[in-house]
This record gives sequence, C-alpha cells and structure tokens, in this order.
Amino acid sequence: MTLEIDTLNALTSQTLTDIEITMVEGLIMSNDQNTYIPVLAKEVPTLENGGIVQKDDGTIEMTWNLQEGVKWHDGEPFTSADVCFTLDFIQSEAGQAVYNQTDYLGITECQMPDDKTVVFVWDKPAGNYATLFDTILPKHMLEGQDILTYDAYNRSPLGTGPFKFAEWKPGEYVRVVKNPDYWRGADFPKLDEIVFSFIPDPNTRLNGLKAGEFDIGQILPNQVKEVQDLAGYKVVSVPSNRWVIFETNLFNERAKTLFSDPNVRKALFHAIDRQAIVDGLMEGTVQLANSGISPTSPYHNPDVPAYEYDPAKAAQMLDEAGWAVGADGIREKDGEKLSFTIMNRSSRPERTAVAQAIQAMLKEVGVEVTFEDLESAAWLEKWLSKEWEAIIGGWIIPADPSLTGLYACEGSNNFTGFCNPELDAAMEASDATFDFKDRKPLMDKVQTILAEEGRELPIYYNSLPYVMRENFQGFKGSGTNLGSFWNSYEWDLGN
Amino acid sequence: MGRYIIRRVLQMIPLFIGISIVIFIVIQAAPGGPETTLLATGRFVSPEILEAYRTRLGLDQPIYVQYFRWLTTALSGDLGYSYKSAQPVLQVIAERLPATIELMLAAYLLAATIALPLGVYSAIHKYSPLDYAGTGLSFLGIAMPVFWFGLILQLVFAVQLGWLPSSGRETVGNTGFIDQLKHLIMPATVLSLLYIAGWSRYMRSSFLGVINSDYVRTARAKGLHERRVMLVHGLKNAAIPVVTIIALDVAGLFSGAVITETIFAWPGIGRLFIQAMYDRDYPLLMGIIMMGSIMVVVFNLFADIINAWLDPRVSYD
Amino acid sequence: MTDVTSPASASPAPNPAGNATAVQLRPPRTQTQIVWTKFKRHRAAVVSGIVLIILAILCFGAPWIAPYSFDEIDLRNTRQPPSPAHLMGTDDLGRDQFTRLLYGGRISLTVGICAALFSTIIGALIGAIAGFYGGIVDNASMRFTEVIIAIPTLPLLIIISSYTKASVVVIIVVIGILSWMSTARIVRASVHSTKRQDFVLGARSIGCRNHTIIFRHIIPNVMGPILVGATLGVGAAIIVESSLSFLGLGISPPTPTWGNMLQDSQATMASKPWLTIFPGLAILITVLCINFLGEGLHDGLDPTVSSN
Repeated sequence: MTLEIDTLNALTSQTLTDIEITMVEGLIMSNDQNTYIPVLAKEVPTLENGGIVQKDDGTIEMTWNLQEGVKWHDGEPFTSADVCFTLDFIQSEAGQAVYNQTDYLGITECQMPDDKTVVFVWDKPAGNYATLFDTILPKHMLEGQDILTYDAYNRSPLGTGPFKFAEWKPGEYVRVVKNPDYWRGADFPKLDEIVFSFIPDPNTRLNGLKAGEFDIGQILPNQVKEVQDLAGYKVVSVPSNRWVIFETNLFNERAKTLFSDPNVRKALFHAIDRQAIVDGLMEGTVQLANSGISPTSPYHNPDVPAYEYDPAKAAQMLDEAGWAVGADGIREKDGEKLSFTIMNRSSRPERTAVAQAIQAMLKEVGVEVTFEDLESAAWLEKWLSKEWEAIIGGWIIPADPSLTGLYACEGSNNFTGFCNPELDAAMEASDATFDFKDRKPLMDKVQTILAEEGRELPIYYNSLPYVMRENFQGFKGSGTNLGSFWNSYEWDLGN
Repeated sequence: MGRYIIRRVLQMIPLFIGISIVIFIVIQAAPGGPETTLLATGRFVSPEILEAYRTRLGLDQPIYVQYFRWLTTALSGDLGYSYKSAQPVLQVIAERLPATIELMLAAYLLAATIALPLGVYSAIHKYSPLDYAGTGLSFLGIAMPVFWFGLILQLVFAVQLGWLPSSGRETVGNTGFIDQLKHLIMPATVLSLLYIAGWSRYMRSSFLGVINSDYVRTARAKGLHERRVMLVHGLKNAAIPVVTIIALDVAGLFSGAVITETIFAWPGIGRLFIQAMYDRDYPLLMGIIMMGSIMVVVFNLFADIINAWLDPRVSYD
Repeated sequence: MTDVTSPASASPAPNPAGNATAVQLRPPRTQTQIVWTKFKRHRAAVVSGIVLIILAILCFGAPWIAPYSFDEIDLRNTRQPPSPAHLMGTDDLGRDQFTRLLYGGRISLTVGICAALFSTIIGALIGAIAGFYGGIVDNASMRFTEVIIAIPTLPLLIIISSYTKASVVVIIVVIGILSWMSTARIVRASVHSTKRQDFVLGARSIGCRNHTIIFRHIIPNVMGPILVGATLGVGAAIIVESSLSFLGLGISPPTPTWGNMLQDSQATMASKPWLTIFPGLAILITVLCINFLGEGLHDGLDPTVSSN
C-alpha cells in the first residue's frame, strides 16, 4: 500500500480497492484471465443463457440471479433490495463520487421479482454491462444515511466478503479477519487475517520485504532486480492492463499546428526506440505495447501495425511534411519550430525517465522537446484544462474493454481532441452488442485504426511485480482496475 | 512574572491571526484544488461537476469570506472537516499527534544526552583531536540528507542485521514496550541528528564563554578545584542559553518530522501533512500548520520564561 | 567567545566586552588579518575551504572537464558499474554519472550559494530598515518576521514549491524567502545598538544620509554574524534542495542536481550502490566542509558576535 486510504467505502474511494475487495463483494469481479466472473450472482447474464432479452421497443431486460445463502457480516441476508439500493445511490447526485457513474445511467429501472432476482431495464444495449456492480452496499445499514459521510460504514464497511473489518489504525494499518460464515463454505477463506500496512515510501517498503517483515508486497518494476535472489521469497510480475503512451494534443492551439498532420505524429513515433526503453530503462520488466488492450485480454489484437524504430524514415517523413532542418538543427516550417513541451507529473518518476529518453531520441531527428514538471495537483488541473502539448500518459481499462470514453470524438475522457468518424462508428457498434463473437472483430478494427492514424504511440504495458513468501499459495494476480485481491479467499500460507 | 506571562499570552492573539491569514493565502494560492485531487484522479470530470463540488465546499466564495468563515468557526473551537475523509480536522489531528510527540520526545532526549556532554567536552579540550572528531560526527548528522541516511540505516539494521524493524510504530498484535522501543530507535536517531550538531556547538561556545568569565576566574583564584569550578559554575550558567535554544528548536522538529515520518512510515502529523498537501485538503492543512505554528509560539514563550527565570539579568518589561 | 584558554591566547584578538568600536576604527586590512590569523588556527576549516574550492572548480568547470554531455543517453549501457569509460558508472538512462555529478554540483552549489545570498540580502535589508527607522516600520516588520518564523518552514516550502514548475530560479527564490528571518533579527539588533554609538552619531552630524549610514557603517559592522549565517545557509539550502527532490518537488530532469540524482537512485541502493553513493557523498562532503568553514569563520569573527 502506498497511500493512506481515504475511506473504506469501495464505491466512493478514490485511492485503492485492495482492502475493500477482501471485505466487500459485488455481482461480478474480474480475474487473472481478464474476464468477468460472477460473485454474488450465479452467472453473468448473456443472450445465450437467456439472461438478456431484447424487447421490440429497443429496451433490454437483463436478469441477474443472486447466490443463495449469502449473508452480510452482521448476519442479515443479502437480497435483491441491496442491489437496487446500490443502483439508486450511484444514480443519485452523490453518486458522482463513483468513478464510472455514467456507465450506470443507461439503466432506467431496477425490478425485484423476488429476493434473489434482479432485473435491470436498459434503454439501449451497453456492451460493457459486465463491468458494473463490482460493489454492493447494505441497504439495511445505509438507508436514510448520507453515504458519503457516514462514518459507521466508511470507516468499517459491512460486506459479504471472505474477511470482516477488524481495525484501522490511522497511518499504520487496516486489519481484516476471517469471516467464519463465508458463503463459499467452511473451506474459505484459508487465511485467518490480513493486515494492510501503509508505507508511503517505495524504498522503505522494499526494505521491509527484504527484512522479512511482510508476507506479500507490491514493488516498482525497477526494484525487481533488488529482490530476485531474496531467500524465502519469490517475485511474481502481474501484467497490468495499464499501458503507457506518448500522446500529443490537438486541443491546444500551438500543439495543433505541429501535430494535426498525422504524418508528423507518425514520423515522431518512428524516431522513438521503444525496444531500447523497454530493455534499457525498464530492464525488460515490462512488455512492449502496440495496442491499448493488453495481450492477457481476449480482445487484444496482435496484428495491429507497429511503429518500427527507423530514424532515417522519420527524418524523411518530416522532410516530406515540410519540416526542414533549420540553422540551429531544429526543424521548422512557416516560421514555427518543431519544438514542444512534454508535461510530466512529478509523482511518476518512471514516466519522466521515459520522457527524457524520448527527448534525446527526438533530438536526433531535429525535434526539440522541453519539459514542464508539475506537482500532482497542479498537473491534474492542467491536464483537465487540456492546455498541454504532449504527455507520457497511461490508462487502465477494465477487463471488458470499451474504449469509447477515451477515443470517441465526444468521449468524456478524450483529452487530445483526436477525432475519427470511422473509429467512432466501430466503437459505437461494439458498445451496442452483447456478444463476444460480434464485438471482437469490431474491437480489432478499433485498435487497428488507432495505430494507423497515429493517435498515440503505445510504449509498454506496465507490470505489477509482487514479492511474496515462497510458501504463499493461491496468488493469481490480475492486472485489471480491480486488482490482484479478487481471490484472496483462496490465498494460503503453506509450510 | 505573572503579569509578564499574561501580557505575552495576549500578544499572541494578533500573532495567531497574522499567521492564519498568511497560511490561508499560501494554501489557497497553490494550483489545483480539492475538486481535482479528490474527484478527478485519472478521469475527466465536467467543469459543471467540479464547480458544483467547489460550491458545496464553499470554495466559490471570495477568499476573505472563506477566511472569516474559517476564523469564526475556528474561534469556537471547530476546525471544520477534512475534505478527504469527511472527519473532523481536530479528530484526525488528535489521532496522529501522539505518534509525533513520542518521536519528538525520543529524538530530543537522545540529542540532549549526546550533544550537551559533547559540547562541554569540546569546550574543555578545545581543538583537541576528540573535539574535532565530535564536531565532525555531529556535523555529519546535518550533512546527510535524511531520506538517504534513513534508508541506509534500514538496510543495515533491518535488512542485514535484522536487529530492528524497518518501519512503522509497532508490530501488529504486539503492543509491548520493547517492541515499540525497537520501532522508535531508527527514526528517533535520524531526527535527533538534526539537533546534535547545533546544540553541541551552542553548548561549546556557551561553556567557553562562562569559563572565561570573571566570576569563574574569581572562583578559580579563590583556590576552588578546577574540575569543580568547571562543572558547578560552568555548567549551570552555560546551560541557560542552551535551554533557550532547545525550546526554540521545537519549531524545527515539525519540519524534520515530515521526511523522517515518511521514510519510516511513522503514523504522525508530518506524513498526514504531506498527504493533505497532495490532496489539497484545505481544512486539514490549515489545522496542521496552525497547530505547528502554535507550538512554535508557545515554546518561544516557554524559552523566554525559562530564560527570565534562570537568568536574573533578563527583565520582564 | 574568545580564545583565552587556548594556547594561542596571546594573539591580538581584542577583548570582546563592548569593544566593537575599537575594531571598527582600525584600518580594514588589520581586521582582515586578525580574522585570518584566527581562522587559520581552525585547521579543519582551512582544509574544508580548500576542498570546497577544488569542488567548486571541478563543478563550475564541468563543460571543460566532463567527459560526456550531461543529457547524452545510451539505453544500451544503462546502470553500468564504474569502469574506465565511465568512472562512476552510468544511470538508468545510460548517462555518465561522473559527468552528471559535476553538472549536478554546479546546480546544487548555485542553488546553495544563491539561496543563501538571496536570503541574507532580504534579511539584512529588512533588519537594517527595521532597526534604523524604528517606530512603526520596526514594529510592522518585526511582527511580520515573527509570523513567518512561527510557521513551520518545510511545510510552507513544500506548498510554495508546488506553485509552478520547479526551476533553479524558483527553488532559489523559495528557499531564500523562507530563510531570511534570523538574519533580519540579528541585523536589527546590531543596528539598534550600533546606531546609538558615537561614530554613527558623528556620521549623522556631518550630514550623511540614511542609506549611506546603513551601507557604510552599519552593514559592515554586522558582517561577522551575517557571514557565518550565510555560510551555514549554503549547506542548509543544498540539503533542502535534496529534500524537495525526495518529495518530488525539486528541480526537474534532465537537469541534474545532487538531490535529484540521490533520490532517483534510492530504489536500487543495494544492487547498484554506485548510483546512490556518489551523489550522497558529494552532498555529505560539501555540507560537512561548509559547516567546518562556518565554524572557522565564527571563531575568526568572534568579537563582533559578542558585541551586541
């Protein structure tokens, strides 16, 4: 854990979810195969199993059958009323604190035919429906409360999960203990308790692991070499869904004059030696990326065009685009220099290092890069204003990918102003189907268009190295936004 | 004496108001705000939602309106609620304060135990090899960046030797005194190093000044034993300015704790400050820095009182 | 404090008790000589001074001495141990660590010296004005000084450092505006006592203007403590710069500083010790020497210290 958590409310917490995931469950969870599996539901509804029915008026009925015999930690039964209560909260004004609130707004009605059945009525198809409801709130505890500020829940959440809240020492740790009445049966969970220690400095964390004080801990990719030979421990690198990209902005007027020509962007991409960044800077701990969807996901397209490192080609493309090398070695066109600023966030030193590598590589082809390093809050403000020229960015997507928010012309998280009608059509079509067989080719096409148009340069997929005792069993790390604690009920420390 | 103290306390009121104005402005002038750090980490949030959030927190008001609102509630003993955890600021600070005080006391005791004898020794044996060695070692303490030295200590004493825990305040489930003491050793040592150099220097100069003064020479001339002169007359009088300095340095401890607590995952105020600062948690920041400032002012007063009490030459006018 | 107990007590050091006037009236060269004689006795200070001069020559001569350019990356030779080609090894981007250490020293020393200079100038001005004019000016500026002193420095520094992108100038200014207070107090106190003394009254009576009196008579008279404070300030500023780097608020890459080099190498401290030892030692040695130098100056300039 790096940061002190803000609240243990899994829905509204902005910092982390690992702790909550050991206590609180939802209808679904994403696993190490980058797919959604049912948790409090018996199965994920699909067209085939009859859980999804498309009505003649265009609306959709989606039926979730809930697990039997699930109880909240206080002994109250878990029912469909809890699910609909959760939806009501997310759709309320206070639900703005939920990071993917907008994805839930398509549900127009929540029906409860009985205690163990929930039916959602959607006004139109939503392909990523399985990403929703990763957390369910207890209605009997929270009804009538201001959930955002209700300490009894936010400081000691009530869930249905394998572990129960035990104590939270501010600045030190959160301790959760075994839930003896866990619905998966008496065999689970295997561990008696988990203690989450908050250690802000990554190097202190590493020292604690080396000193044998912890059973498991996450480290930084550049620390892997430090613990490779650590006696009694093993290192498991979990491939993350987060991919790191070099992106240029078209909202900013100056950046637009440089980058609106896709050939300029592509030329820059050819001048960047990504393999050297992966091998040299990151010591081979991460994997080169060509598309935004991780190879661990079934939606990954392995055939997208890759930007090979070819500085001669890059120089030629820039010449052809009219950017000639000036007297000072920097290319220029119509009095404008091919010089731009990468905005770095000081809390992400590894990306600043990538930016420095890119700066040096682009210098070789006559492109000048300067930096603007900003402290986190200042960076965020500027990033949101969309008035920056280039950044080393990185997104993490859920196991069921919808890229619409990031790349559609009007996408809420489209920060670069990139707009392509063909891409929009493919993404829209993908979002409107429920079937993997139909979605897959559309998502393949999305990834291809993004690469061909030079929307961004994917650099690498991040990795999440975990150090754990050799006898640590059952760890199946997941690189999704929901993290590696999804199966903590199976974890065990053998002998 | 009593009137002197009352007058000094009354003088503090405008000082506190001045301090709070400066801090309020400095905090709010920082770019970014709680609406971005707490709502928009890693995603786009529409300007309308951000504005609504600011309105809810009252941040859309002119700064002087916000300040007066803060001041009036603060005067009634209410420092508001942390934006991040939605808990009362006083409660959040109270949760963290004991850890910081514990660390500070330990560091202070350690620094005083080492620095004062070292200073006396250096003064008596001025320019001797041991004077140089002691001075050099105490200077090492302020010449090493805390974050570097802290990690080196962890590598040696926690990783290599396994004698001490690398970080934290206690082993979970073990609330024994020995366990807490073991956790305290490294952070307290690192923090104390910031003071050993200064205090031993002061003690050295102060002691030198005293043993050269007329009354010590007189005592010596009267045939009192050299060692006795040094220790009895010298120490007592040399201690006066040093005690003052020690009280004044409480101010610096808060600054030192920021990095020491971060490196050793110590659950104190310094770490809380860093987090509140990244979050732009204005009420919590105000609370923490005001508390730090109040400590400085109060210990200043203590220093003056001690000084006045120990040294009859200081008048209270 | 004087040196009466030391073997060299027969030196011409004046008795401190209220003798500042006498010192002032000597020709300047004589005083410099006195100071120099006393300073020389502090051997560690002399050695430190020499070390610092060598370091400064190396760092400020970096463009001519350094074997590589400070931002020349080589991703095929990252994190190499020291070798004849790279005396101190290479960093995570394959840059020559020795080169970066020299350039980094240039920045770190500049930050240290300029920040100390800046804060000394602010402190001296505020102190001199307050002490000289007295009354409401004195009151207002000393109340303001008290306010700033009371606010814990590092937290304030951290917040102000986040205002804008961190550059050398910004860091210098930020450190400078938060460390002038003790200088201001010392100067004010000195001015208060000095301005009542005969030579100042004399200067005024022959029609010297205020600023002439401040700069000609008062500032030289408080030079001693100011000089010692400024020397120690250089070391403190170098440490502060490294602390800011630790918190991610220091000077941005690719500009090297000893602070950001040290911070960036922490993660590989055990497996690649050369990356952290060299910048760490550079800071350590420099600050250590500066403190010894300050100590020597303090001993040398002693009489002025006790005059107030």
